[in-house]
Amino acid sequence: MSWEQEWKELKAQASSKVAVNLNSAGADEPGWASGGVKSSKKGWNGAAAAAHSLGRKLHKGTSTLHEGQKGLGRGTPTGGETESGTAQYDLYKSWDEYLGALRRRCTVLGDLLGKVGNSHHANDEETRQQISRLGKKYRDTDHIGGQGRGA
Amino acid sequence: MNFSTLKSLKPEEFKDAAKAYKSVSSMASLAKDRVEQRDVPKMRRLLEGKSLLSAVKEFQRIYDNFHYIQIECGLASTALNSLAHDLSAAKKKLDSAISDAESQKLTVNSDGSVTYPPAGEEVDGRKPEGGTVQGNAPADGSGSSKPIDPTGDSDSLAKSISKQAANASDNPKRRAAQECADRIARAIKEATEADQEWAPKLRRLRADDDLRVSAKDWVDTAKDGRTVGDGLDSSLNDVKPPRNGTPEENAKWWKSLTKEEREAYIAIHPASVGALDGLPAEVRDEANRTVLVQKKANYQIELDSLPPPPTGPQTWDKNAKRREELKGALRGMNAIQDRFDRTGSRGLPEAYLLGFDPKGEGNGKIILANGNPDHADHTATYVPGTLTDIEGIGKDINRMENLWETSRQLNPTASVSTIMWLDYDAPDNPVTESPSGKYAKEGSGALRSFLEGNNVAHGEATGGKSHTTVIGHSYGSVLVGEAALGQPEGQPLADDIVAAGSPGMKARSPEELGIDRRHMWAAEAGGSADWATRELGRYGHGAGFPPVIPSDPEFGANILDSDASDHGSYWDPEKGTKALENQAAITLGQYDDVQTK
Repeated sequence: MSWEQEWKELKAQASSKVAVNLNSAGADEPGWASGGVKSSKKGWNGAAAAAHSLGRKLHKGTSTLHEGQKGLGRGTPTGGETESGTAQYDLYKSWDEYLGALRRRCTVLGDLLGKVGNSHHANDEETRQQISRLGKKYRDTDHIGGQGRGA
Repeated sequence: MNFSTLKSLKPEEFKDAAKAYKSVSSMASLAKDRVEQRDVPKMRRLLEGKSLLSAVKEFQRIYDNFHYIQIECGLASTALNSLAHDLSAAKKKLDSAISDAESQKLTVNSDGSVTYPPAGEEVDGRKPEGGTVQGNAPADGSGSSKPIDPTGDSDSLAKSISKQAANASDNPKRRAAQECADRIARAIKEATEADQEWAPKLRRLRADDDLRVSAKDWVDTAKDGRTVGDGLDSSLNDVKPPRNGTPEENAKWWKSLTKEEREAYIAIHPASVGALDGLPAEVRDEANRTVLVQKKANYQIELDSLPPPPTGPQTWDKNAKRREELKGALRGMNAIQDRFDRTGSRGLPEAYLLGFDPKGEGNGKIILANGNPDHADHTATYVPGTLTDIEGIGKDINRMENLWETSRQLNPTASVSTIMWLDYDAPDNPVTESPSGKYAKEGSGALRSFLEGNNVAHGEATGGKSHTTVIGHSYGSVLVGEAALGQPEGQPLADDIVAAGSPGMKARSPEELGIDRRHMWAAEAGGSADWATRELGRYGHGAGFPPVIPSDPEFGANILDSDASDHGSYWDPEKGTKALENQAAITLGQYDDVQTK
């Protein structure tokens, strides 16, 4: 094999190796966990706890935002009578909703993972379907942040 | 905004809100790091199967949500701080005008006008009459010369002002009253402008109404960054890193900033922060991850917008080149994301994106560390060679993962960071481009600056120094040679230098590179490409006559025992482990474990 040819092959190998990695990240067959099902109660319950913990952080974030913008609420001199005060209120409402929605997402996921952890005969395929169904619930709307909501 | 609004306004309320958004942004940043570094790795350790994969995917989507919160709430915080700053400045002017008025026994009325009492020398037994004046603010940028009147009836006000001025010109208090009223009007004008400028910007930062963070959403975060940046008050806008600063100057600048200035600068200029050698790895990583998601989204949207390739007899596709470029860059960006996703699998440490630009010097700029170099006792930086570009960067990323793993196998308690460094225009063709030294010469400054930046950041974080190794592969070793030659006398480029499959380093000996020969290492591999790289390459990059390369005995490096089967397999355990194990031992400074020929 000429060295130029070898170079070409090395390059091709590199690209195909990356391509495999990409596919594995996109599809459901990465290298680290193919094969058998080692469904451990500890693992699922740990994942459930992680999701719930994220939910709690969001809950705290919601309160922080609420407290932080109290002086800018409707009827306050700073918030009520300035344009940016009113705009901040809209901003706050949108993030309050977003954090709340994400919190619900974490809680629902945590509840489901906890159920899997406590189920004695969790079936891999069934569990996969249940979790995938969760993700599919969240669809993209045409709106992007800062638009929509009558803006 | 009118007088009474500004008078009762508390700009610190906006500051409080800014603090809350910043706190939420930090919460989101920590939460996403936790998902990547703890939660998902733990799941992978304990679980497997398809259900694990779908759970991981759901956690990764939630990671994106947190990343989105981090970026947008960070911007909201910066916007609110800037608004608060503008309003505070206006409010201070107002307060000072009111207080001056009061000290001169003038009365400030609820509409911002100022009333003065009868005063001055008596005329016909009567003091000149008192009166009330309205303020004028200077014309705005539109060129209008009308007096500024926030209540909107400026014409009639202007008339009344003139009239009063005429009637009361001999009252000395009138002038003082007019001056205060003007200052009040100017303060109101400034506050009104700030209020009107920031209101729409704040609305732009409202959250998306769905939980799927799409490419459009990421692109929107970049636009939001520019919008907020455009409105920054001058105190934040003037925050700029030193021009062409050295890593030390950059670090000094960063340390000189207030917390608020740093947060604003990261939020508005992520690409600039991410590229600054000398800044902490965590800061650069956070900034570069923002750039990565935004650029990836841009590329994806552009790719999706290209019309499909033509079919049928007319097969010329004018978009073919661009399509391939975009696909290639996206492949590389996905490879970086894959590395993030692999954190925790096979024990891999967290990854730090220390540099990112899909274009860079031509082939993309990607600097990715396994483990935090600011805290690692041992740091190895790998410089790849010919044909390296963003499209195939996954292979180079894998190489440094393998070096990290092998180092940890050799010493499980060692603290190591291995870095893949691509920040130069690597030759694209081994026949026509690799013989030229220009790519190495042009890129060597960036490598020196990066390594020096690591030293500075490590010193800031630990007060000490990391043991450093630089590994040049193929043409990458030419660049390492150029970088070493450019170092000041007595300051070697690194503690150890490894040249793998090197066509030459522009030097005849380790000493010419400024390094003790006990710390200079060279390796060869099997296969014709490695042979040709060395034997043909030496005429371009070797030194002396006949030209000498690092793996020649005359050069004086330690020649590593290597069973790498071909030019690309120095870091591939499936194609020989000796070269990899030897590099791990060098990286750890465990020289007794290095096997040489």
